[in-house]
Amino acid sequence: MSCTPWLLVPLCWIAFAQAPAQAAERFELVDGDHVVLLGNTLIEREQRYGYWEALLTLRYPHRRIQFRNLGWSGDTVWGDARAGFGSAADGFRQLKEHVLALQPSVIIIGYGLNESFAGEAGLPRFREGLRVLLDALAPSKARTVLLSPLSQEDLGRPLPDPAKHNQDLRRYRAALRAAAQERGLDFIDFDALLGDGAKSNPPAPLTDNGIHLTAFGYWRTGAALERGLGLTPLPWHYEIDLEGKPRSAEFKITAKALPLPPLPADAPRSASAGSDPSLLRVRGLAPGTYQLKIDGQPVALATQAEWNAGVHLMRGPEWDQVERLRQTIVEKNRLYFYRWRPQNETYLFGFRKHEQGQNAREIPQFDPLVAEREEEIARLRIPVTHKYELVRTDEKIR
Amino acid sequence: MSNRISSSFSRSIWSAAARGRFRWVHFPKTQSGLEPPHSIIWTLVLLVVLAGAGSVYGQRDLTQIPDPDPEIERRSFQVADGFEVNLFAADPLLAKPIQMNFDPAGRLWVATSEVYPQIKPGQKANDKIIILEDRHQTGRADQTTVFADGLLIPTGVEPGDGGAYVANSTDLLHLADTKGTGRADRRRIVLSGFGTEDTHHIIHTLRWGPDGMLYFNQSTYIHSHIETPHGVRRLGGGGIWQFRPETMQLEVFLHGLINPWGHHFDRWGQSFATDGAGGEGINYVLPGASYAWTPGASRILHGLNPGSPKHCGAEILSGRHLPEEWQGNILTNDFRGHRVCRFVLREDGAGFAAQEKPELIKTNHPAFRPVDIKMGPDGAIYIADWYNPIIQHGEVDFRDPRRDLTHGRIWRVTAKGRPLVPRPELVGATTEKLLQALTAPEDWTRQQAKRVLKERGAKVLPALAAWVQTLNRVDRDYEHQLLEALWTYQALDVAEPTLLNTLLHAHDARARAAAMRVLKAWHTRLPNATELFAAGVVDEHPRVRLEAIRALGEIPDAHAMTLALRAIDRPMDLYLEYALWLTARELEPEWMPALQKGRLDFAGNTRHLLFALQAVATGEGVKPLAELIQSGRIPKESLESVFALLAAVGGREELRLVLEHVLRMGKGQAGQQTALLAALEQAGRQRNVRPAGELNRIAKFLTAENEPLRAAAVRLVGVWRLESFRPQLLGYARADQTSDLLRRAAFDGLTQLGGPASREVFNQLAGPPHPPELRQLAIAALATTNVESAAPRAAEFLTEIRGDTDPTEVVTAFLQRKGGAAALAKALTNRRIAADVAKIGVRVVRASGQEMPALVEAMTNAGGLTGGPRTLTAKEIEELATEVAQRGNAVRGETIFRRKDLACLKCHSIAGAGGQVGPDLISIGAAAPVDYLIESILLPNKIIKENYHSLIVATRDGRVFTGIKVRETESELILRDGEDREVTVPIKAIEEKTTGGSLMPEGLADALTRAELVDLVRFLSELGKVGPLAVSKSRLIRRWQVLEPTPAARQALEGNRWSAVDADGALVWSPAYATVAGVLPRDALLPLRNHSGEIATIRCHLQASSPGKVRLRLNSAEGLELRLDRTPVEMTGEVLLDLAPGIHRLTFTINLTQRRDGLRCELDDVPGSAAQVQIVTGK
Repeated sequence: MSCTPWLLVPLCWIAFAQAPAQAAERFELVDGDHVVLLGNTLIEREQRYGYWEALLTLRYPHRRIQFRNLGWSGDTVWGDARAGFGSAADGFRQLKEHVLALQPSVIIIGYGLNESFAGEAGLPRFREGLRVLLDALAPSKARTVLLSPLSQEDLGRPLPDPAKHNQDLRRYRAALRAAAQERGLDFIDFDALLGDGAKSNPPAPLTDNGIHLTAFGYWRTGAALERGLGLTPLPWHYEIDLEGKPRSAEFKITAKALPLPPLPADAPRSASAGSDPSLLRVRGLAPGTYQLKIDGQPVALATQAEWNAGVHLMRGPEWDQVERLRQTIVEKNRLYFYRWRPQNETYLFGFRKHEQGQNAREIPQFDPLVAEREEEIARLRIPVTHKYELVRTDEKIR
Repeated sequence: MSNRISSSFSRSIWSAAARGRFRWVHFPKTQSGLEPPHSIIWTLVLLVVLAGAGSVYGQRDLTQIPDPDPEIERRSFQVADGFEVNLFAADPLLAKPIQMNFDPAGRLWVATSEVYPQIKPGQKANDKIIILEDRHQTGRADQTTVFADGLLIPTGVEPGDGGAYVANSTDLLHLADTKGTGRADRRRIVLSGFGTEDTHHIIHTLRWGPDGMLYFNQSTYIHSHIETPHGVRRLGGGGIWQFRPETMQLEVFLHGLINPWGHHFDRWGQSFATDGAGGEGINYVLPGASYAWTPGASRILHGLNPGSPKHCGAEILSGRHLPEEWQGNILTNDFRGHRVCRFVLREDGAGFAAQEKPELIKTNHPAFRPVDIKMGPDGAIYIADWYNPIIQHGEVDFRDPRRDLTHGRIWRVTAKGRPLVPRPELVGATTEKLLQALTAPEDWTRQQAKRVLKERGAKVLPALAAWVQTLNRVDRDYEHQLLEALWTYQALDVAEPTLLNTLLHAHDARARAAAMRVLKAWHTRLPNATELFAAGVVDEHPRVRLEAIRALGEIPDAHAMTLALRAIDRPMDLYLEYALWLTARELEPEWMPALQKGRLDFAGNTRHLLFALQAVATGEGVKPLAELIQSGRIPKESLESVFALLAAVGGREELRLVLEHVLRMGKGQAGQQTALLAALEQAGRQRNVRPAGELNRIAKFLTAENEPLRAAAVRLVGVWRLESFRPQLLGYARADQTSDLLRRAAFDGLTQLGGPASREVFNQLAGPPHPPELRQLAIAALATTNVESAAPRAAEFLTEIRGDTDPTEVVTAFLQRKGGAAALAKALTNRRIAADVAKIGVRVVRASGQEMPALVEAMTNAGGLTGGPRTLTAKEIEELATEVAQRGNAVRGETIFRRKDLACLKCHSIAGAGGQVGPDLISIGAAAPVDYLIESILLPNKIIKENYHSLIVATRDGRVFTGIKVRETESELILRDGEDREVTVPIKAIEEKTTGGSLMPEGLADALTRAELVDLVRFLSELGKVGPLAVSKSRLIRRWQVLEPTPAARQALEGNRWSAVDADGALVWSPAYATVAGVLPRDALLPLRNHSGEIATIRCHLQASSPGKVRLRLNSAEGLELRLDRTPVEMTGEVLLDLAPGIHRLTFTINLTQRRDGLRCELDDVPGSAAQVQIVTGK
């Protein structure tokens, strides 16, 4: 570490978040919460990307919250995709039993897309199915959140023109909203929440086929989900006031919470517009260009004026940590997937178990592996103190 | 020392072998090529002893492991004349190849999995897609790239769209290398929601179609639920998916097949599939049709080669490198029998026929497991070899240390002395060059050129249009070139009506058929599509008609049905019939309401209306059918089937019509009358519907001369509760002269009539002094009314009889009632029964698939039996296996296998001939190790072949059914019971379904001496191996029916009118089967004495799908007379038969005084004849 004569070390660490405390929020996850995510592909694929779960995890760095993703592609409020060798009624029974067995305190439900292909004529049946589903899950007494299906994006031909389907989707969305209102449940209207310009100007599609979110889609809708739950965005904003116009600075920050995960690699160029990146303001530097290093790792280069106004940070040890957190969540979900939807079920548990039933004992062996990942998540969600250094690069060059 | 070796020990041995630290001597090829690897056994024994483990269990594991040196494997190949094999790639470059496909650059992409069959806790899913390149064109891969890893059991890969589509368990992924590093850096989930209930069956067999669509398959047990922007697509069970990635349109192209691991298109776009779990060889794919095991299907299509072993992979051959006679052949792999098989495809009406030819490769190398086969850019044939000493199926433990996880090979087969095809340069070629490549003789080149054109997108359209204009109209391939252009438009998803129209009017029917399928894809974009289909329906070629019929199923309009039905004004065949049936069902929501509202009358054409109504076979269609009957408009030849349908689905009024019809029918129609009465009986039993009107008229038949007809009427009396006829039934039940058939019918009728009167008579007949057969029936009848009160009578009976009376009937009756086994067990307490009676009783229980330990124990105690069936320790099995190898005699073994008392053939077939209860044993020896065979005979329940566990079904009325599930529709479950009968259980009546054990009873081998067991196992172990017991590819008649020497038969023969008698169903034919070599032995014949001495009568059946001449070759004509159907045929050693379409009966009368030999009968083609004839197999 360089220790130059003009170095001034004014402050040990200064950190204050601009976000208000979470106590006043309408929706809050508390220590020990069990969150079950239930639905179709919208839910199922979330576990492959983990952005929603990461966001809700990092928000509460000191709370242990367990997430279980029970999404299933092609599923409906009737449990169609879970029927296996049986009927939809068997699928529904399986759905209900599985959710209740997890003793959820929060259930986030994402249905409606698949049902909506039945059009207006299918609405009464959907409403009834939704009612039956919510009644079936009611014994859990969990706080329940209904997600709206996303509108089908128009990605141009040859993919289908979504205009007609979107009319149907509006009807199904209204049915979901009505059910939520009637029961006093949270309702997340992605369409309303995303109509904020994030998808336009220039357009940054959230899907690659009109209906299924990409990694960026999950990253982007994660923020919408938070807002929809009435949660104030938790920006990673820090301001440092220096005295005496120093030409370098060194300080430590222990963030209240990790920053948002970095944009996924598949994000469109225009994607950051409208998002809420992390911001570091350093006031009181002497004029010049400064490089920021965090724990010795160069992460940004900006002029004194720019530091004064605030620089958006997108990488560095904290972003590495949040990315590791997200990947660990994905890994945990993968292991849990092997646990609850193991391959070869027919042989391990089904009607051919006389052949491989002896290997069914392996499946519970995923439990400790899931628990291990959860320990890691518990460690990774807590921000650690990092050393920040600002060094004038123009002087160095001279 | 423990008998069990620890798995870690065997694994370490195995890894040592895998690394080649031990060089084991390869077993020497003896003359027969059948000797087991003694040297390996001894090396291993030594090894184990040295290691101090001394475990026989471990040895048994290890005897199966050959030296992994690829050269040893290669040298073991017996290759078809004119071909040679070289190693293209091998471990460690690739391990466990599953599927492979070439890209347009000629690189071979291979999906590989070491995680298969099941990820272990703590294991990282790190399966790979690798790319093999032969950069220097030496015929060997000289570069291997790991394109992607981190995958979970990728079962398919198809390069395209800047990367590759990969089947990855629940997902279809697209992996792309966007940075040109050779490694995938972008992973996109294209589709998700594929089922993984069985990793043998997860999505696989990715293949671009000539139409630019991606086809991929899934197999039975898999339930997929896929979201697309067009809606959700679901498929439960096997099938082939059709997918257009850029539009996300996903459809089901074929339903069913059990494990369709092979799919390819011929030069004209027709599809063929093979089945890695089915036994019907090559399957011609009729779009939208259902095949074996489609859940809920009420009607399925069959493969072209019933009685085949399982096949994996499929490739249709083409190109200049291969000899002329191999062009258009389809190759597939018998992965269990270590063979690469060859079939010749031929047109057969609307469909195709496939005939097996000698193999491309066969070997006894135990680890050669060909699973995929593809042609390459050089015109050679490439074969993916999963390389494994055991087939990794479900019955082998997932963690069995013998599962090879590290090896794999790609073999390359070339024709000796023929030049290779110059590798086409496609990737960087100009569009003009690519278009030129569409005229190449190699399917590979044309297909890959089309891929490149497609990926270039719409910008190639002007050049494509210009190219079509330059084509030479007199070129013999002109129309095929146009078709390639049309497919290119289809791949680009651009409708081109002019070119389509030209092809719809092509001279070559194959081009017209292909164009019709393209029209189906574009029909919404073309204003005159319906007219064009209408023309296709009456095209002169059946396959064009077939495509048009299927296409009309897409048009949601009653008029489409009217058009499709015009097809029946032309000759129909099996496939056309099925296609029209399917279309009629698909369009039912359109035409049925219109018909009912009187808005549609199929232009007054009764046959058309009739076909549609019979196709849907629903209650809605019954009223119009009844009207047709009453107006007398039903053609005479359709009457029987119409009445059968009315009986099957009609209400009271319709059943009345059926009954009246039966009453009106004249003499000589007893067979049909019996069948219709049976249909009425079914309606009563299963749907609880009886005809309206006067039922007592049935009395007419209670005294019919024809016995089956009389019996049918007797059963109906019961089902219809016609109390007034009870005395007649009682008479039949009691009379001494009554035949077995009639007596059973009488008991059944009385049971149905029920009431105290029935019980009283049963009770009376259940005891002495009545003969045992009568008592058994009476006790069984009692058991159906009340097991508690029947049980003491049964126990009494079992106590009284000796070992020479077979008590099966009584025991079975109790097993078929809920609580029956328990009641019988209780009644047997403190009783003594003959040991032999107890033995048979125990065997009956075990063969029921139900576990009834209390009853088994009760019978064991009552019979004073000691111990259970013969079991062996691992050491004894090991010794026995050695003895099988050293002293077993397969010829003697076959005689034992055929013995009536062992009843092997009652349940098992070989090459399709034999019972259908158990698995076909055609290639069991090649597929199963000797220890497995021994255990399977001695302990049938230990390892049950997949799909052969029984299903135990309890119904609400207290009955219990056991059997192997044959199929299940929405309303019925069909089981095959231990007697090889299909039993139908209405779904509504089912209370509970549970899985039972094997239907093969334990202790079957108890009657064998050790030497006999050794011979039997030797016989089984040779089946399917290269050698004399490999099942011949000659078309031998293996399944015969022998006329039982009953009084009716004697009478009929005396009057030389048995043919007519047979039509009335009064003759009894029992099955008999040829030996593996194809001879029906003389001792299988049943002699009957008539005026000319001892004669026997046997028959077999041939099904002609395309008419014409075929040849029958006999080992000798001595003492034979032959009738084709009813016409005598002049006998020589070679008989020429001219067959019309349909099923034909060949009846041989054998003069046993003159003839000493058995009969070997082979079917052969006649040069120039278009006939396609299949031998009817089965029971």
